[in-house]
Amino acid sequence: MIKVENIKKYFGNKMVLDDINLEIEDGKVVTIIGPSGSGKSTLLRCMNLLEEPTSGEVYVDGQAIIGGDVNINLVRSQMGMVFQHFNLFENLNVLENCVLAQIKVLKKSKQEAEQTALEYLANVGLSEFKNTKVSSLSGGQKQRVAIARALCMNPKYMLFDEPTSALDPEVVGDVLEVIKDLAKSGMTMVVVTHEMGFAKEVSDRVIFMDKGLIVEDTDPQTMFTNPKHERTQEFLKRVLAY
Amino acid sequence: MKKIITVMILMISLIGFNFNASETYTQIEDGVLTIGTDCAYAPYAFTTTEENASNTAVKIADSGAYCDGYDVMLASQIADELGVELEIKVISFDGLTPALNSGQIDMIIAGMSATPDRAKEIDFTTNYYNSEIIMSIVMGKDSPFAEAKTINDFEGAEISSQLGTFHSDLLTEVPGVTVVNAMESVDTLLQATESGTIDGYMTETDAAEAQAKSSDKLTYVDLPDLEIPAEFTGVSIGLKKGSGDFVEKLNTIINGISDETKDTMMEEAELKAEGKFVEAEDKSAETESAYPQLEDGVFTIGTDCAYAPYAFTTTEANASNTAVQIADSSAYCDGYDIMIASKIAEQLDATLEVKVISFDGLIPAVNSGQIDAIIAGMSATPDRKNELDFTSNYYDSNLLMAIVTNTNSEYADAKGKDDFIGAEISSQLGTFHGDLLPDVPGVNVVSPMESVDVLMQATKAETIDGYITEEEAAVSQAGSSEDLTYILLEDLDIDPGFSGVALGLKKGSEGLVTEIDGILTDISDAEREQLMAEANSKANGEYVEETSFLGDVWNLLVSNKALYIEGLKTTLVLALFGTVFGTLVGFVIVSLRIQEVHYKDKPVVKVLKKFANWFAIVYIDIIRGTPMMVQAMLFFYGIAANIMEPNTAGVIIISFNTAAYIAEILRSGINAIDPGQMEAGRSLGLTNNQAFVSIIVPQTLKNTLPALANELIVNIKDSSVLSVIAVSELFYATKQAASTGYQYTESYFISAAIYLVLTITLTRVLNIVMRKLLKSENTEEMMNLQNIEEAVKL
Repeated sequence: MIKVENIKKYFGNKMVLDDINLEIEDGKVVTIIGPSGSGKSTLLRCMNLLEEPTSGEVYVDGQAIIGGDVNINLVRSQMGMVFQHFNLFENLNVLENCVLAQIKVLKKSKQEAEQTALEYLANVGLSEFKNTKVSSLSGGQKQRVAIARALCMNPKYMLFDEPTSALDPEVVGDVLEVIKDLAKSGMTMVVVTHEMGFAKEVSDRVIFMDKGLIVEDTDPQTMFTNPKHERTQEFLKRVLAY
Repeated sequence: MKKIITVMILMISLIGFNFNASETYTQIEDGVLTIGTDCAYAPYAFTTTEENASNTAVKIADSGAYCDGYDVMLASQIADELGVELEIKVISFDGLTPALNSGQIDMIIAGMSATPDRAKEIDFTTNYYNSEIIMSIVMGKDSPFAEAKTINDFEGAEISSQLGTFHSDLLTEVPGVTVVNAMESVDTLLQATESGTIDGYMTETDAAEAQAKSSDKLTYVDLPDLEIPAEFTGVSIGLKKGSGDFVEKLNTIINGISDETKDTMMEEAELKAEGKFVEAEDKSAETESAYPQLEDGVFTIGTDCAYAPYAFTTTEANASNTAVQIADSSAYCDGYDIMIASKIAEQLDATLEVKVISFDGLIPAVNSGQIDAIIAGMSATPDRKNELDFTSNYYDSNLLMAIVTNTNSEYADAKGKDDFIGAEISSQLGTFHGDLLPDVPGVNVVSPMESVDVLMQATKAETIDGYITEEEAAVSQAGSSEDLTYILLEDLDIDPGFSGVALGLKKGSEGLVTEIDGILTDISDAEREQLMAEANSKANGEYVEETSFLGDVWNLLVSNKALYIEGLKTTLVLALFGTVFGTLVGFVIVSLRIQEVHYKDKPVVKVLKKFANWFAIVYIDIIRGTPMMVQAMLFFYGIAANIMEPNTAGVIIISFNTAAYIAEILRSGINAIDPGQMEAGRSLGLTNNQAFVSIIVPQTLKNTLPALANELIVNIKDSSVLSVIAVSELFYATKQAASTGYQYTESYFISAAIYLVLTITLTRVLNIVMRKLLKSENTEEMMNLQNIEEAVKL
């Protein structure tokens, strides 16, 4: 379980997260939606401390990861993250991207690591690209490699930070398929997304954020058909209009 | 030991006077200067045996004994300066004046003061030592007056003095003293005091100190409150009445010796009188090669080897039997200096090694121990004497200065120093020549230039009207080009300190200097002239007849092929290793530079990180803020000269210099990498360091490759400044080749061409390599490369 407690985050004087409290239960898929600048990505990045909250605490499996005495690198290795801009290692090929952290962090042998990597690459349908330099992949392929790279660490949680926002429309589907499969497998996931249809389909819970606050936190059915808050209604009206 | 040197140096400067000592005096018509002394008045003069005689002692006429001391040192100098032999006659103090008047001796040097009484009898020179006289009384330690402290404590004491001195005149000033008749000599006084016949005797403090120390039964007391009439406070040389001119001459000599030198001589004389000096001398005599310079059995000399006929570079093919191969080079050095150096090395039982170093780098090189001695046509000027110990002159050039000028110049027809009004004249940096220019009327003094070739070029191009140099050099240099001619400055006065050339050694090398002086003494003037003539003809043989420019270039290239190839190799090694090591060090520096303090860090880590930041910033600032040439000089002569060869030092200097520039290149390369790369690494659980090494470093290297390649090109060119520490790279080789026959334009032309071909070729090659590297994103190409590599290995 990931538990976020009284998180505040300022960038300079600007408050980005205003006292957020949130729990992600194991096995659940939680999506976070909201307008740009509402603090969705920042909240997600606070969960594995890529962003240090100004105050508050994050608990992962009951361990305080900010104030507590934990090896943050090991915690992170259990929280796979997928970025909007993929962030594949430019100097490595596809297979090496998936292998590097397994060897360095999980201390696996090269052979073992490659075997795991090939399995996950097969899952995302990219086995034949294992020796390709990442710069020659398309956006959709890159994001699928990024997902495979995260899964290779055998994480307990997966964090997705707008995984389809930078993709050409025709490949968005491929990536969403992969994420959907993952959701069905019972992985605990937090997904920041603008894909409302996807959110509605895979989520156990949907959270709407605005101006650094959680405005509404409910099941997808209620969120998309009968939102309570005025701001939620306005936002959904606008994004679902087309 | 320093004192010997001071005396030697003094002698060197005096020898310089020889050529204008043409006037003669009756006293020295026979070529011998005979002085009279009682030789029993330490430290002015004291007798010693042949065994114990120091290098300043002189044998007493008709005796097996030697006389030494301040007076003898002074007399030697005077004799040297007058160009005559010195003879010492020992005569009792009160017999000196009669001996002088009868012509038995030419002068009295015997610690004698020019008292009014004496001045009636004989002529006196100016004081040759002002003792700031304080009188003392020497007493037996058992004497009732041994505890006396002042002039008032001698009530009832029986005190004597030396006959013929003014001392007895002063005894009446001591309250209550019983004046005992003056005794003939100090010996008598000493014995009388020791035996208790008298309570003591009065003498000057300098003498009292030396005399009291000679016996453990004696002590002395200063009488600073005893007033002494002014005419007694110095000692001077006594001459027969009517020696006016000779007195003048001696005064000039005496005034030419500084007070400082006089004090040093006095200290030395005191030490010698006590026997301490002799001990030190014995030790160095016992262990013959106790000189640190010769411990390795190699006598390493430094020269710029570009100052014909003293020293000039030549090729193996043209090398004469006197030429010596230059260390770490295929070229040879020849000339008068080399011939002399060979003779010295032979006498010292050492192998001669010749290192070529730019003229102004010679003094640092000898001080750092890189070379044992400088023999480079260098004059023992007063400034240089502060830095080095000099031997006696190994060549007195009867120094005539000349101005080398362009044959087309309006000054080409000048006849002497008065015909250069308005001329812009320069000189070589680090020589004394420039100091003489103000004596040329109306001349515009141009700043000194680094080397002869620059001067020659500037004169040929008429940038300057000419430059001043010594006659030999002028003849040689003007002879090398149709465009140049020279005008002798016969009427230019030259300080005697400049008129000869000597070997320069590290300070504190008195023993070796003395030894070399001995060797030089054995080379007669005739032999020196013969060697110089030989050197001149050899140097002239080096001049390639001027044909066409390109013809000259071709000849120079062919005859110095080995030299250029060697230089080229060294330059490439310096640039390559320098850039590779520089990149490694650059990474270390930049990783210190980018450490960021995190609030969770332990206090120690915070401090370390801040220090790392500070260190990197300071390192980069210092290296980028100072010229590499200066860094090279500082590092090499300050630290490295004793530990490593110049070429090794060169690699180190260029590496650590490049590292600062590369660190900044790398930093901008790192900043240019998408922060997402680091975040992705951290999100997978990699530590900062793991992510840095596995992800950031390889990408930085790839991104900065063009800039790093550019550093390599820059290093090929910039390594040329390492020639100042005698790294045998291309520019150094160029200078060596050039000095062979003053073919500077030709040699630099070749050098420029080599550098240009090198940099252009390398730029093209690197561009191709880089395009390949950056393109080979594709695995198959990588695989191919790997296969090729493996195939090559097999």
